[in-house]
Amino acid sequence: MMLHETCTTDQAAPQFDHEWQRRAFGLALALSEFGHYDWSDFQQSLITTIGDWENTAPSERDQWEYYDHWISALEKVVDDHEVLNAPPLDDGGHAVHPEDDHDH
Amino acid sequence: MSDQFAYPSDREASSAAKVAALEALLVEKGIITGQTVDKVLAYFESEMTPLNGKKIVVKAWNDPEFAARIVVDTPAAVAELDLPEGMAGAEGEHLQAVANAPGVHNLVICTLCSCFPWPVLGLPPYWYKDPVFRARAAREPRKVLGEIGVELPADTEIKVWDSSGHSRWFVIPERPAGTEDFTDEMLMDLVTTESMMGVALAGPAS
Repeated sequence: MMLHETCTTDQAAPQFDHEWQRRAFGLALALSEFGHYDWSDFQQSLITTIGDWENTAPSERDQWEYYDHWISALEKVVDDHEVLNAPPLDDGGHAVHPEDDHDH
Repeated sequence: MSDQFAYPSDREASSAAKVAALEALLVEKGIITGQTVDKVLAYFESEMTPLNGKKIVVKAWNDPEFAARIVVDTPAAVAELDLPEGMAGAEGEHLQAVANAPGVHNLVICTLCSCFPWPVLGLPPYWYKDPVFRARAAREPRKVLGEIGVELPADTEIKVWDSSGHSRWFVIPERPAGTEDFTDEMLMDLVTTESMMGVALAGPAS
């Protein structure tokens, strides 16, 4: 197996190839930030999605595309947590950092 | 014109459409606003950058006591520095530093997903998530390091750290020789993201 050529030539490479990948990243992070799920739930969903891909025979699976897995994982965690049924944003009911509310 | 390359671009369009549709639906239902994702990305891209990691490494180079603390209780040592506050989900609570030393080189990988230490390194280069890189780096790190230009003495031990949600590893590279008189700014220029992943040594960015 050969490493991708850019491993040796592409220092400080861009992190996203396409804007939709950046949006997918930001959307997953934003929903976690606003308390719709724990980041670890998203991570577990991503691990499962990638694990399924790795356990599928190469002839049976799509070519590797990290952000396809990212989107599948995001759709699953949104579904599992019924994020689409969450109450709309209103009076700041979502505490982004509830643990920071201590008065010291 | 149909050819064998049509499918990936269809898939690409399909993925892009899925993201746009999901965001639009969330906005329509009032669960997020049209600005939410942009705000989160703006914060992330301005604050969660390798600049944080560079400051940590330079502090460790200049302060032996800090260098000793950073590998024992990384979050507490990082908290001593004036860095941006972490965000929930991308927080630094699981950060764990490992230090290179004469005879020891550390390499960070993630075999399942990219549990990357964002708060200090920003996002990983895209090839870090490539399954070939991950699998080979776990199995034959010395060979992989050689291929990407990191030639280590035969008797240098290579430790491979598998990042996870529980431990987000990053590397304190060795300070290059001949930099005793460097200012902090000059030293920071020597610390690349790659050197903090263990896939390069500290030195001028190539």
